[in-house]
Amino acid sequence: MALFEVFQTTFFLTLLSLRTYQSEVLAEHLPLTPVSLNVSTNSAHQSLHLQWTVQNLPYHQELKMVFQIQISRIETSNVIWVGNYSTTVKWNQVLHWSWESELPLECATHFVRIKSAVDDARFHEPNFWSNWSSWEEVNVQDSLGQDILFVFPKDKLVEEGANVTICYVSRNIQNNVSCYWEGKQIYGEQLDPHVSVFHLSSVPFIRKTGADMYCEVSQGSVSKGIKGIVLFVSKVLEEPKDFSCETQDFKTLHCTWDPGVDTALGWSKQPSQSYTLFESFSGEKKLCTHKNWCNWQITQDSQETYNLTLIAENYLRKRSVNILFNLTHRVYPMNPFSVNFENVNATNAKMTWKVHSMKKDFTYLCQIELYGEGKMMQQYNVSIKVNGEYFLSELEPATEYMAQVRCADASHFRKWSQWSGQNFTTLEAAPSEAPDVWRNVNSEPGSHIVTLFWKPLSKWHAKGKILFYSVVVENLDKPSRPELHSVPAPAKSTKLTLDQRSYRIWVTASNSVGTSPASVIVISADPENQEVEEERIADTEGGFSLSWKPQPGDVVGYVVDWCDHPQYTLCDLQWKNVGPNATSTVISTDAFRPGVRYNFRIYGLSTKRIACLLEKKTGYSQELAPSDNPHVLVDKLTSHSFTLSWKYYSTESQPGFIQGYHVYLKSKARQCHPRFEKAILSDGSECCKYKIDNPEEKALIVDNLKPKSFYEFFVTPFTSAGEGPNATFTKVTTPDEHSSMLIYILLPMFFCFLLIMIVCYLKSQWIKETCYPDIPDPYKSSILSLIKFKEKPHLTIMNVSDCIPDAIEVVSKPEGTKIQFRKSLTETELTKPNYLYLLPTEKNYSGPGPFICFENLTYNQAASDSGFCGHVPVPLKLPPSQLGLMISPENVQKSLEKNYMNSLGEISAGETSLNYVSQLALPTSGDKDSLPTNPVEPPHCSEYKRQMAVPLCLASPPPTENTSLSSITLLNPGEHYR
Amino acid sequence: MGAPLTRRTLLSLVLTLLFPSMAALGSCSKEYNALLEQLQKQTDLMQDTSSLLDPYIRIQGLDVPKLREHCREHPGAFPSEEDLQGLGRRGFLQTLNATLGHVMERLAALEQQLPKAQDLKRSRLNTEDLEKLQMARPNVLGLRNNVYCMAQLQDISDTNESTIAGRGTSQLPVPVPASDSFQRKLEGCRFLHGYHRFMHSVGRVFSKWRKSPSRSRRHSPRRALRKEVRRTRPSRRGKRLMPKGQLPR
Repeated sequence: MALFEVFQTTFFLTLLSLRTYQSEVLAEHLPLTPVSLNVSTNSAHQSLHLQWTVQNLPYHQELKMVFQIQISRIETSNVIWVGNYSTTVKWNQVLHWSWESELPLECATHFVRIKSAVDDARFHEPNFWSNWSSWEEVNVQDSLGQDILFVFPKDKLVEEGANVTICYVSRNIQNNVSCYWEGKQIYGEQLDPHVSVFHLSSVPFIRKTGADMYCEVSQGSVSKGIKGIVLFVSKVLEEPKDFSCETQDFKTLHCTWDPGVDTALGWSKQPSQSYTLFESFSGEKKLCTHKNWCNWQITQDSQETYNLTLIAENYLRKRSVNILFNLTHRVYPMNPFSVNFENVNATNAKMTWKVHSMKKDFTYLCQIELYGEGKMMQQYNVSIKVNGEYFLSELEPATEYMAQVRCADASHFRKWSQWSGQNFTTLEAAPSEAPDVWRNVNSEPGSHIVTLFWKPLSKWHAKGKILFYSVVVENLDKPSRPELHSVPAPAKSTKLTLDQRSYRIWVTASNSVGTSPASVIVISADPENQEVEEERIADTEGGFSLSWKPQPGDVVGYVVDWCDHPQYTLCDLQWKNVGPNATSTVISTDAFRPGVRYNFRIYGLSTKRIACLLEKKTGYSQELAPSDNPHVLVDKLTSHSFTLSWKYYSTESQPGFIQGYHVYLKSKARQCHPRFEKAILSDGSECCKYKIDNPEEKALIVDNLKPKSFYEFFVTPFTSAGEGPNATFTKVTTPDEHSSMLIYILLPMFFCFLLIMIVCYLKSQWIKETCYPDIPDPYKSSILSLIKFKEKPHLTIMNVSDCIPDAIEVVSKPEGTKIQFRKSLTETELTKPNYLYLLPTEKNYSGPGPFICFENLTYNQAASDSGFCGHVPVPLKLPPSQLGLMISPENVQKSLEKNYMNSLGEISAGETSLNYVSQLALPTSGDKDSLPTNPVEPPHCSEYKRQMAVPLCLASPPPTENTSLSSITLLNPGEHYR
Repeated sequence: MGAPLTRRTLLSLVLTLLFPSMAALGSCSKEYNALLEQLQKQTDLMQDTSSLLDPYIRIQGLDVPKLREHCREHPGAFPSEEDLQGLGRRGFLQTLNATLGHVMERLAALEQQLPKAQDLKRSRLNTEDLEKLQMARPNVLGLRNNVYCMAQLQDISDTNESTIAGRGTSQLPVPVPASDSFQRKLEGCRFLHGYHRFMHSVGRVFSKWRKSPSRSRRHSPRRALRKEVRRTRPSRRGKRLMPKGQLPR
């Protein structure tokens, strides 16, 4: 047994020594060669992944080794990369190493080989490299498939600004391949007949869905397909900015930062960057769920110092920012609360508030701001523990204030809290100032109308809401009880009617607390001095500069008053108080408008508070040109002159002081009249101009004119700002020189004629009796008495049987009178006009109509002798056709026959159109034949023959085939045919 | 100025179109003509490439001539107009419903590829196109609801008839999932191109329904349909392509 143990020990010692020797030998003499080299590819990352082991490594021994790796492309001799990789190698360990290719692996065959050397300090002898491993070929192209074109790398994710190499593999070298980067064709370099490479340098971010690179395969002009890749270019991840943490309660740290640009990409290629908080002292980490803030829980009360790191990370980059701080220095207090005001009076108030408790003995520094009327009035700082209070003083009565408070850590000031505020209003106090009072006195017979004006007290002086004004009127000439008038606010004036005595007036303003001091003014019994002359003033820069002579005697001051709106009835009286030593002032207000005349009155105030008018001033803030032109009357127009006058033109109501007038005169004459000068009008035409410098001279005699000539004039006033508006010229034509003489002749003639006419009218009876006595009325004849006597009142025409004949003459009536009548009529009609025919006047007369023909045979002795009462038409100066129609014997006869029939019967009441036929001459003997053949009653002729109404149809026969209406209606109204 | 207006107009139009489709959730309109008019309006809206394809192209950066040339509908991806015209009403509605179901799925997949609206806003990028794309699915859903209502009106929700499905083109050919984003971009583009074309064809079929004399009030749609059913009785009787009540998913 002992022998066995000895043997065993010897064996182990031998083995150990052998092993030690072996390792030394191996290490020193045997190369540790990399074996089992295996190369795989990762297309997504374009990387080669190498795995190998080390041969001859001692069992359980670690050696620090260095491996040299060679990578060739396309062929082994084309080494594109050589590099060393150092690591500690264990026995039987599989080693890994990766290499990223800038060229997509699919685009070229790669070859890898490796060799190694011991790089361990335990071996002092110089290292020597092992032999190279055999080349390992990496050929991805073979696994691509049978497609005609491939583009690589697929869906590569890079950062903005990176350099990218893209390649395509074309299966058929006969195909034409065109490649485009974002729509623009690009050209690459050819690696081999099938592969081309494109280098894109500094690629920009284009869109979140990636930038497109594509190649189109075509044969000839026929497209055979399109292949491409999307290059996902990410924005560069930015370092978070403004990283800070603070606590409001010593329980939570609230950290915030500005994340910068978002690096998320579409197609889920890259989400938005993530943010992580890491605290190095505690070693805790928290993934933040928000992009720009994160809360960190304070768990250890004892930890006062924090070292927080904010890490922003995306697939491509990691950025971090770090802050180291003491927790007590990072206090951001919560807002104060329960802000209240106590014991508020007119000028003081106590402000109270509370703050959230933080830690024991934590002191707040609080800041109070007091705002009134929109601006900060006061600011205070105060230190408190939990409850704060501050006494606000020097406040204004009846004023609304806003007080706010904010707090911070008093020990380590970092940041103020937000403001917490509240409004409050102080109580009212009595008004502190007497109202500024002025008056306007209008004297009327037996009284003074006094209008008192006062300005509202400023808020500063009112110290509350003014409720009313008290006006006390005291008679200074007659002891009496003062009268009190109360005027409710906000009235600014009141009117008093006083008798012509002196009065003293007190005016006070009252609010709910008290009354202001009184303002005193005295109204003198004497009327105001209105005799003061008005003086014109010019506007200076921004106002009216007024000066006056000082009032003799003691004055307590001067008052200047004016109206802001003098053009209105309520002119808005304004006044300005000036000190007793002043003799000038400038009145400036925004109410002044150009073109408005302002009147200023300057009063001196005596020690007795009596106002005495000293001076009057008037002026314009800016004079304007006249707004209208005068209405000019032309008077005294003769052949050589006329007078222009505009006496009603008011110079006072103009937007400037009228300085005169310009009279423009246009005539055909090229030379201007004396006193006129040539002027060019705005339209470029020439005229003559006369200037009147006196605004009150409102007439001009324009003389030296030519008779029967045409003139145009235009009168316009002018101020310092210019002339009145343009207007049209008024035209005047001078009369003819002789026309006046004609007037002198014609006028008396007219009057003479008129006189004669009047005389004739007055003596008309005499003239009538003398020149044309009345025709005796048969009805009034004495013969009627005989008829009445024989009781035949119905007869109106005396019959032969009624007469007592002295002798009887028998007249034979031969045959053929009708023929003779016709003949005679035809023969005589053109030579012996006997009748005046008045024919129908209507042009549209279209047929027979009634008319009445009166025959007056009173003095036709021949007719009466013959008993003939026919008539012969007047010869007409008409065309034969018409004439024939008008005077056809047959027609006439028929008409006459009919006429007789009708005339002896009744005339229709509807026959309203009457034509009158008046006998002018004796009928011829032939006329006798025209008597009707069958008169109802034989026409016995006597001294008087009955007048007959002849229907129109008799004068104008009805139309026949040979006649026309037009032939009848040729006559116009007023046309007469004889 | 124009963008918000367009957005608002689109939104109001969609809401208007969706309103009757809400009936599917409760009760459908019984007014055949009103429903048909609504369907036509919807198809008019959905065949407009500015509602979907154009925004997609802009978002994906395909708005270049070379790529637009390759943004063409895959033959057979959607039923052709000829096929649709050849179908009976029942078959047409069922085909339309089934196709819209697939469209919904594809649209959902497309949306996944898009950037998130809040990411765009954070990067201060225009989100108008994205919002248009996101309105596509509600639009399709609205149309499906009205298709369902039309089917109910015609009492064919559970009947069988020859559909495109029955003719061997049962579903949209599912494209081989593209290995890379570029191909998927193009596939999406082609799909949307086909979708708009399909909606155009659907609109034309509906317009023929309106013109069809059998649609007059004297002819009950149901009666006309029954005649048609007799005429186009499907060969595979009893096979339910779509369970009742499952049309609008």
